[in-house]
Amino acid sequence: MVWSCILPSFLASMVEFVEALTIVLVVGVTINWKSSLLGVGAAMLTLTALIIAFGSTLVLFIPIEVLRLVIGIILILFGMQWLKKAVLRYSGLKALHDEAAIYEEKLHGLIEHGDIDPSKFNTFGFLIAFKSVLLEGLEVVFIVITFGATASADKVQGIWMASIGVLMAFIVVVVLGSAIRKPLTKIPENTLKYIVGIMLVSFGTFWSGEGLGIQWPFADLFLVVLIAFFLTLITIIIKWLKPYGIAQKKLQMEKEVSPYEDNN
Amino acid sequence: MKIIINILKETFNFFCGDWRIFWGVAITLFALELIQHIDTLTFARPFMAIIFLIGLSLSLIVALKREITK
Repeated sequence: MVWSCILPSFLASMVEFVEALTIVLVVGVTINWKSSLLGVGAAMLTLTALIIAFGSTLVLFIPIEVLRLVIGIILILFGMQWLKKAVLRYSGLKALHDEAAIYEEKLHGLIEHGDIDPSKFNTFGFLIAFKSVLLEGLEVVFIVITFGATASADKVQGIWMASIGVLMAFIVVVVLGSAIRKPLTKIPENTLKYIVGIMLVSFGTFWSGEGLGIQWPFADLFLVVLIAFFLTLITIIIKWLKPYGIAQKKLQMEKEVSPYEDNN
Repeated sequence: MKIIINILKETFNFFCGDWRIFWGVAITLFALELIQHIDTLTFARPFMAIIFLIGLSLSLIVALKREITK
């Protein structure tokens, strides 16, 4: 199942890279590119060390059956978190992730911080870039290790495959980001989060189910049934929540209008 | 002590972030383990996959229902 290593890693990394790139761009534009890129480099080194440390521990010491059960459960919890956010955004109960708005907000925050010499290395800028790449990257590392180590019988090859997915996403995001030098608002981040959430929960259910002793009909092909099941479930949930989202928006609009009416 | 609690909180937020989802999944897994190991519950073994899927679905629904009542 090569695709089951590459595709989730590619999509999940794309989401995280877009988020990290937004912060890196802000630091680069407002402070300087030196601090921003050094922060990125330091974070990437830390992430590589984490992959080597945790990846090799999983590959060398833990049997695949145990790995699938434990990782399956963690993937379900992790994926449900992504799905919950995506559902709340689609139903209107939470604002859609707007990279342009985040970019503007961070930009103003940094300008207000003041006293920035663009020619000198800036510790504040370095730390912001480092923190954002490290935090977003941690989720990518988690997905690479879990999908890589469990999706394929050969755990080392699996991690390599998952890393290829990450590398492809990194190239796509960096090329697009450096070409437009603005946040990548065109990438439908919420849709990607929704797709990856479905994949994480489906694979997690499949692997942990196997670990619990469930014998899925049609073996690996049952993954398609699980994906279809969760897609249907989420579509029904979004339909159920949409009226609440509309009601919440109306309430917010009324609250915004009412002070104006009071003044008149 | 505070640092340890903070680390545990951050770890929980990173992996799950919602106690309703966590307990929903935990109870589902516990129920499946009982079905697997207790002889009087053998009759439920063919339905383990369905119980698993219902448990997971309910965990997510309960967590989302909480967001409406907030």
